[in-house]
Amino acid sequence: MPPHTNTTEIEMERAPIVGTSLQVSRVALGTWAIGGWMWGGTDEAESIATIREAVDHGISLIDSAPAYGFGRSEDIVGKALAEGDLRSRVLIATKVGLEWQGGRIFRNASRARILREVEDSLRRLRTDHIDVYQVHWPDPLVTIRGNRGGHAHSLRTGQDPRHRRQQFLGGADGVLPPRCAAACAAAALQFV
Amino acid sequence: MRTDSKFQGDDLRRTDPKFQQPRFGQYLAAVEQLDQLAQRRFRRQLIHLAVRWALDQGITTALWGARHPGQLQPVDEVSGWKLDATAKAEIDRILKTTIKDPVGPEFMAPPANSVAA
Repeated sequence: MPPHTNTTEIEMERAPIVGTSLQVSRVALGTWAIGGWMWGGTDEAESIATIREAVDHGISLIDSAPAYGFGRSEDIVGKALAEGDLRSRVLIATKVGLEWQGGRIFRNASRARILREVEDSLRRLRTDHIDVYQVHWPDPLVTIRGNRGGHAHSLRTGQDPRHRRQQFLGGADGVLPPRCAAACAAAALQFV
Repeated sequence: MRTDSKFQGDDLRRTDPKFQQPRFGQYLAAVEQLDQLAQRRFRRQLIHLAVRWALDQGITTALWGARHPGQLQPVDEVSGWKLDATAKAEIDRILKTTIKDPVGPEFMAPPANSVAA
C-alpha cells in the first residue's frame, strides 16, 4: 500500500509507556472484533486490510489476546504482519491468564497456564517476542506478586535478551486491586 | 445506532447493560449531545471527541477497535488538538444529566477457575 501523500495530514501523536523503553502511538489498534467472538464473526481478508490500514495511519501498537476468538485474533494479526513485512514497524501487546473450555472462559494465571500461553501466542503471532504482556483479568487465586516473582522472570517472551527488559505485566479490562497496582510497572485500564 | 438497533449472533451488545433500555436510550441521548458539542466547539465528530477525551485523561494510548479499513479513516483527526477545561466540564455535565446509572466493564468479568478453587 502506498504511503499517504496528503502533506496537510497531522502526524500521529506518540508517547512512552512509563517504566519501559517503549514508545507507542497514542492510538493503538484493538483486535477483539477481528477475532470474531462476541462481535458476530470475522472476515480474514477485511481484517488483514484493516491492520495494514492502521499501520498506514501511523498506528504502531496492536493489542490482541488469546481469548479474542480463541486464538483467531492473534492468528490474523500474525498473518497480516508476516505477509505485509510489518513486524518491525509495530509493537505487539497481548494478554495472558484466561483459559477456555467449550466456548466458556475462566481465569487461570497459574504458572503452567502462563508458560503454555506464551508459546501459543508466539506461534500464532508468528514472532519471536511479545512487546507488552498483560494479565487479561487478574486471577484471585494467584497473587500478582506471585506472578511477577514466580512467573515473569522465567518467561521466554523473546529470543533476544533486550526483550526481557521490555516485557511487563499489567492488568487489562478491569480495575486493578491495590496490591497489583503497586506491584505492576504499568497498568492498562478499560474506559467504556 | 438507534434505540431500535438489533445485534445478531453472539454479539456482546445483546447482553451489554449499556445497550438495554432504559440505559440504551440514555447513552444515545448523551451521544447526541456530545456529538453536537464536538461539532460546535471543535468542528469534529463524536468519535474524535471520545478518543481525545480518553487521551486527555493522561493515559498513554487508546485502543481503536476496527475490523474494516474504512473504520480507521477518522483516526487522523484525533491528533494535534486538546480538550480545554470548559469542554471537559461540559462533557461531565452532559454525562451526569443524561446517564442515570452508569456501568463499567464489570459485566464482562470472567469467573475464577472453579475447578481449582
